[in-house]
Amino acid sequence: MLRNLLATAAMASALIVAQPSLAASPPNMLVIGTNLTGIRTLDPAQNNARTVSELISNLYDNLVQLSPDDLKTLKPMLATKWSVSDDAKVISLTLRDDAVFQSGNPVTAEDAAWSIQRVIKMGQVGSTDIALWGFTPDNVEKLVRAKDERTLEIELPRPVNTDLVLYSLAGSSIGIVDKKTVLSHEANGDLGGAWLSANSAGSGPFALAQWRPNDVAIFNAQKAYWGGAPAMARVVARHIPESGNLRLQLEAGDVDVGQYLASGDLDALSNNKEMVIDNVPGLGFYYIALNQKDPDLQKPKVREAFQHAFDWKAISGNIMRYTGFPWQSMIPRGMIGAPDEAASRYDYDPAKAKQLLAEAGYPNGLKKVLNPSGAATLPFAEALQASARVAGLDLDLVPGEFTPAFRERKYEVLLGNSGARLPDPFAVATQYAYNPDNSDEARLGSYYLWRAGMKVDELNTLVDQSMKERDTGKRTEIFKKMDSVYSGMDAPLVIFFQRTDPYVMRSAVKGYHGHTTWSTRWHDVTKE
Amino acid sequence: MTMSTEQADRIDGSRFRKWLRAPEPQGWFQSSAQQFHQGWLKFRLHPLGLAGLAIIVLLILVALAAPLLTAYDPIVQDMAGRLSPPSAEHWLGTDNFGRDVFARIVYGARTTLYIIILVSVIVAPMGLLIGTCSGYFGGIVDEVLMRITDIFLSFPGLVLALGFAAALGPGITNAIIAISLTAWPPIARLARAETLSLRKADFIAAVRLQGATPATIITRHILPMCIPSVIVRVTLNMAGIIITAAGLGFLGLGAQPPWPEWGAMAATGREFMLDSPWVIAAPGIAIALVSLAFNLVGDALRDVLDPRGSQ
Amino acid sequence: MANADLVSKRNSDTTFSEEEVAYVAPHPLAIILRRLAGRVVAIVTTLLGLLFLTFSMGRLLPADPVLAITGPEVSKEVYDRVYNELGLGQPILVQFLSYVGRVATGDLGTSATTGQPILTDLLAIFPATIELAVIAMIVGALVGVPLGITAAVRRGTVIDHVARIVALAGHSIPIFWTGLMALFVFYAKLQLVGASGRVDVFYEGLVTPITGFLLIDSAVEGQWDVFQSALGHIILPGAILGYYSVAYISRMSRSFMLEQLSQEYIVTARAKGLGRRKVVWRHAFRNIRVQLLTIMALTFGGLLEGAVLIETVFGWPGLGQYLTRGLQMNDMNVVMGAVLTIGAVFLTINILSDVLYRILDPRTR
Repeated sequence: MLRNLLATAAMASALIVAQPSLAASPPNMLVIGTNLTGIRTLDPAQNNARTVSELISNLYDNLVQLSPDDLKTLKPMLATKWSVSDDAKVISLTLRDDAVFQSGNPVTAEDAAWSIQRVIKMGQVGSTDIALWGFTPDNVEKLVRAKDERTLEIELPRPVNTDLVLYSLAGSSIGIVDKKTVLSHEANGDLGGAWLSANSAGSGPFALAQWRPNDVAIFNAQKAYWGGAPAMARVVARHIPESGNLRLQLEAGDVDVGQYLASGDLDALSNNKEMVIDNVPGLGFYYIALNQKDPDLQKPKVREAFQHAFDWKAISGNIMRYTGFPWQSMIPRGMIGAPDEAASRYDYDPAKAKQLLAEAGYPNGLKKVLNPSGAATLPFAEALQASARVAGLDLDLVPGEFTPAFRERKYEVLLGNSGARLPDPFAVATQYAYNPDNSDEARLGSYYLWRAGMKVDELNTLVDQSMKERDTGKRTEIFKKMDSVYSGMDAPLVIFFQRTDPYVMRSAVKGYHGHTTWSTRWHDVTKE
Repeated sequence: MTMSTEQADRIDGSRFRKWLRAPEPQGWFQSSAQQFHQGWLKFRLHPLGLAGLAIIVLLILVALAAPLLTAYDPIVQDMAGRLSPPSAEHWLGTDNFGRDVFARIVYGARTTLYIIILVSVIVAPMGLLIGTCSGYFGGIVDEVLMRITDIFLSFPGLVLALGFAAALGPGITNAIIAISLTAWPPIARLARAETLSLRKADFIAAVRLQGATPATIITRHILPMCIPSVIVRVTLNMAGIIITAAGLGFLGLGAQPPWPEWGAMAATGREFMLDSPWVIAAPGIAIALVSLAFNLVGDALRDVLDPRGSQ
Repeated sequence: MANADLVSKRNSDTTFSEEEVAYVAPHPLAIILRRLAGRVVAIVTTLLGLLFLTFSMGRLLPADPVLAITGPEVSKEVYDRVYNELGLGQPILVQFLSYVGRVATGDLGTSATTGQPILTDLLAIFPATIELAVIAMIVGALVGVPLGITAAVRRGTVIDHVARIVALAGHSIPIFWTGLMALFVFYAKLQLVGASGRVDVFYEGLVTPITGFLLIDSAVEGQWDVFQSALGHIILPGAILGYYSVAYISRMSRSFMLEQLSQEYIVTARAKGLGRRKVVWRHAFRNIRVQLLTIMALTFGGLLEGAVLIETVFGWPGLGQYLTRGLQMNDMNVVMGAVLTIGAVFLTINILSDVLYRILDPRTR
């Protein structure tokens, strides 16, 4: 019996070891190790989060695009040229004539119009940006229309800076879908939403070959792509939630690009000559949210105390090394109206925090519940808990996923991070400074200031103005004013870092550039 | 020449030993003590069991003497000194927040002990009560109680504990409740089996004829007889309970930060495992050692108290 | 007067009175049916209890079931409509009964995080975990049984003690630590095995899923390179999970073997001069085979437990990862569905092993 056992074991190990060394990722295939958790659907109209935006941007083309290294200049994509009417009410885009969907249908202005109408009518998270311009399910069919086969007209229902509108057209949610194909799979009037969650019908350089939620997404190159066939014949996005595992696979060459690696693994990989870490700045911040529905947190001195209760310097060189840089202004660095430097507005000063608390009526400190928005912000929250303790703030840390609770205003102190897709301070301002209706019934969950429970009319006006103003110089002034109002009011959203997203890739991978607006494209990727 | 009583005692051994060896014990306490003594003599012969017991005693001592063993505060962060390897200053190095790992292990022993004691205190009486009642009363009571026990037994422990802990929310108390809810069924089953065999015994009939109520019979006569096997079972299951608690901590459902709990420490250490292995090695070894100890002690106890089957 | 009655009864011993009837054994079929009915009732009540447990777990989760369907951006009207559609305002018992009804028809709800019906999700990932558990069981048996038997044969010696510690270590050391360490050694350093998923990315989608078990499917289709890749990916998590169960298997093997070795026929055989190895393996082992089989079945449940932790480490797309992720994302339907599945599997195994034991063990016939 033992002899049989040994024989089986020997045979099994021989089988395994005799594998051809296809371990390394093949030269014409790009393997991305990432986290696919929570991606319910691949329908552009239903998405705007980071990972899925990347996947969608390669299945679907947009009308216009922004290259990763120049976020101000719009470049042609499906539209070759565009113009704005003199009264700034109508944008006309001329589409190229050689773009073809993966089904073989040509890309027409009708597809473009329908795609945009669809986003508005479905009203999912994909419509967050474009709905800002005043499109509603009732008016969108009239306002967004195909003038002819090659011309798309977008009429704006209210005065808006047209650059902003064009920026929103470059977002992955407004990928142009194949109207005929999608409608042929419509069920129960869902505009094809159910079918599109696991299938693709775009004109992008890749088509969806396989999709297994929380496991793997496989893309095949489209040779007939109008921009030329991509060098990668296949792209595989693999769900590798364990950072240590992903790192081992990167080092072994099984994976070419890694996302969502933990700080420890990033530190180790930074010493590896075969690895390149691209730290892409994001359009968002790490912040502490203080629920203004809580009577203690309403007091301005308490809010000010929180500004001095966090030792952000201690973590900026280690935990935050790859995920953010110190920044304390609501205008992202490098954007119009941004201050030159914003890392010294408030410092860690526990004594001052204690004093402020005493002045506010809490001489013995304050006890509150602290929630991280999710697993990503937990270490940040732990650091906050420790430094706040010295300042007299006893924060009871309850881990978990609290973004839904945040949206419902059911929290006390929350630590979160945000992201946006429009490369303009207006996007961030909408999140952090805008709140037209502070009532509970309004349920304005997409505005962080509503989630924090504060309404500032002056900021509302400034945000509105920044949306309508056409002159760049004037907009710069508006944003500067916004910044000074915000920092002077002891805001309930205390900003500490501007977010960065690290992308790790093997040095053999060329042409892969993580995009600030998350529309990372694979068309130009090659491997040496 | 007659000896004095003291001299006679010294020859025969101390009075305590005599009391332990008296052939006819007077009362429940003396007989229990005698049984315990007999068991201890047998237990002493198991080297592995003794090793396990030594580890458990060490755990208790470390937990109690935590402040004496380390000068470091287990929750104070020191970002400048994070992830430093074991050295003379930090015997087991520091973790990703610069906290001394040895201090966290030592204070984490308190959390472990807390879990062990509380779970035992909840599970043993609960299982005993349900099991003995079920066995004694039989009929519909038995059916219902055993059905409930079966339902709980139809889940692997960790899965059920996970579900409860997730429903109750994170926190050490909730984790203990969740674990207790999954640990009582085997005890109840055991108590019931013992009760069933005891129910027909003569002395029970005798006591019943004397007019004892079921409550008295169960608590005074049946329960004490079940205690030894329950102790063995609880000790054996304790190993699994510690692993379950660590698993819960690992998945973020145990003690909340910043309190040191070995499972949660292993979870955070996992991120740095490849470059700073001491952060996860220390809690991992601690969990393994304590779990192993309970396994060994339970095995030895079973050999001592249950002469049938495996010896 | 009592005594008189007794006397009269004794006197009429030889004849049957009207009350006493000749003892007629009930029809064997009736016995079987009654026993079966008893069992079915037991199973059904246990299942209902299981459903109630999962139901209460799901309802207690701090997640909004309405938002799970509509997505977080929703207006008050839509929210109210879905709330009423889901019947969330109704009494708990009504909700429970409708839940039972839906489960009976296979409607386990939809996942908030994958957007798919839970049943579809489960059908896709269930084979992955079963495949892993089967490999683990094979490894556990191949290691645990010889270990236990050796420990029994050499009872009390150092080998016995070492075997016990080695076996217990498998269950005491946190499985995620062993997993990651094993990955580090066998994958990163030695490059012997695969790291993530069930098969190399290169082979994704090349095999049509018939059974859902990659090893079987690829072998059936003759795609041996896929088979190799799948084997390389499953062997490490399978081995570690198997090691997790070695403690139980080896201890039970040891105790069974000890029971056999103390029997008279063994002493007789040894007295007759039969070699020890023959005695152990040809005779004693034969007699404990049946018991070992039932032990195997019971360890399966424990393996599901270990799978919950190890699937995350290895990126194995199975039930364990599904459940853990569902808990982290507060996806109520996922948690309920996964816990129910695991409970149902566990229950089935217990019943099957009971039945198996009854059939195979000649003593209970």
